[in-house]
Amino acid sequence: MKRVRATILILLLFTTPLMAGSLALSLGTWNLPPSSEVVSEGTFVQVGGVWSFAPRWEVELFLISEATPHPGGQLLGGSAFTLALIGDHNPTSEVVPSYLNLFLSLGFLGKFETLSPSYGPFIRLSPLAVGGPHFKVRERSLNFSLFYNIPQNKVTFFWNIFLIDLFF
Amino acid sequence: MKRLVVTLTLLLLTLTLFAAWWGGYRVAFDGLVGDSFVDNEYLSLEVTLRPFKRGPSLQTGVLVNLAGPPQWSVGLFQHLFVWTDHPLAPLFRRASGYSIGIGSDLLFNFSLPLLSGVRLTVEPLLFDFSDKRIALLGVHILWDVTSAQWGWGLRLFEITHYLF
Repeated sequence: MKRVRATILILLLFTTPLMAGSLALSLGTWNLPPSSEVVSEGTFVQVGGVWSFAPRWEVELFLISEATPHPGGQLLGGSAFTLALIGDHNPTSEVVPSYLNLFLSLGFLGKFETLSPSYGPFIRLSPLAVGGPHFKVRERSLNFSLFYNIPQNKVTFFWNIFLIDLFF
Repeated sequence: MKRLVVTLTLLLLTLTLFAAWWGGYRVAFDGLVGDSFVDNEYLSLEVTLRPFKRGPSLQTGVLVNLAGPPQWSVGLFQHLFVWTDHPLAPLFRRASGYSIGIGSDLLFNFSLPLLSGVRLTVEPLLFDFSDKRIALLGVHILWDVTSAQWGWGLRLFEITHYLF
């Protein structure tokens, strides 16, 4: 088992530089209405990674952690597939990328807690995205998501006012 | 002639003291932990003025929350230094400077009693882009005037955008 894990790790390390596209570290805020019953009241931060694997497509993995009043007290995780709606945000070198873009994402969000579970799919609109892989930084503002909470059979919403992506 | 030269020299010296960008707005996201504060995220919207290059900036604005009444803040902020050749510079497309900032402000209610808290803020991750400033994970120390107790908080993210 140890050998399998070590082999997978080595393969991942060697193949990462061969991956097409761009990788980014993503940082941002996360919040939802006090009545949502997904998490108890607090402030939250979102940290994740974005991989732009095609001119218009990218995939994202993220963790959301409570910052106050109990740092790390509540933890959520998720992933999303995102499509650039206005134009190519990560085109080949001959094409000029769109500086301003609009993104639509489809993803899954879940809480790492078994006592009061919350998980389900979400759809997110990022109406104001400025920058991109060619500009090294991208700011996604006013991101708004609709979330279907499967255990509670309830639709709620959440938002990230700012998400900053730092491309490597 | 001498008087003209002296006047022009003094004028130029005075101009060098003024900041190139001296006014704009500041948006920040705070979590505050204290008896007179709610647990939900606070959104801070402020006007900022920084007349001198080396001097502090003055901020005033509102602190709003989805679960509680809004508050009003007035305070001063000063960055301690600017390190231009910092290790995180390659991450940014624009020329940037790393800094540590210290600020203090008074928080007021819109009803009596007026003064609700005194806040000291330390921002250890402050990036200056000349007309824009971004800070991450600042720490607040709070004196809650209503309950006479100490509290704390985190400034998750702050963006200052100078417009003129």
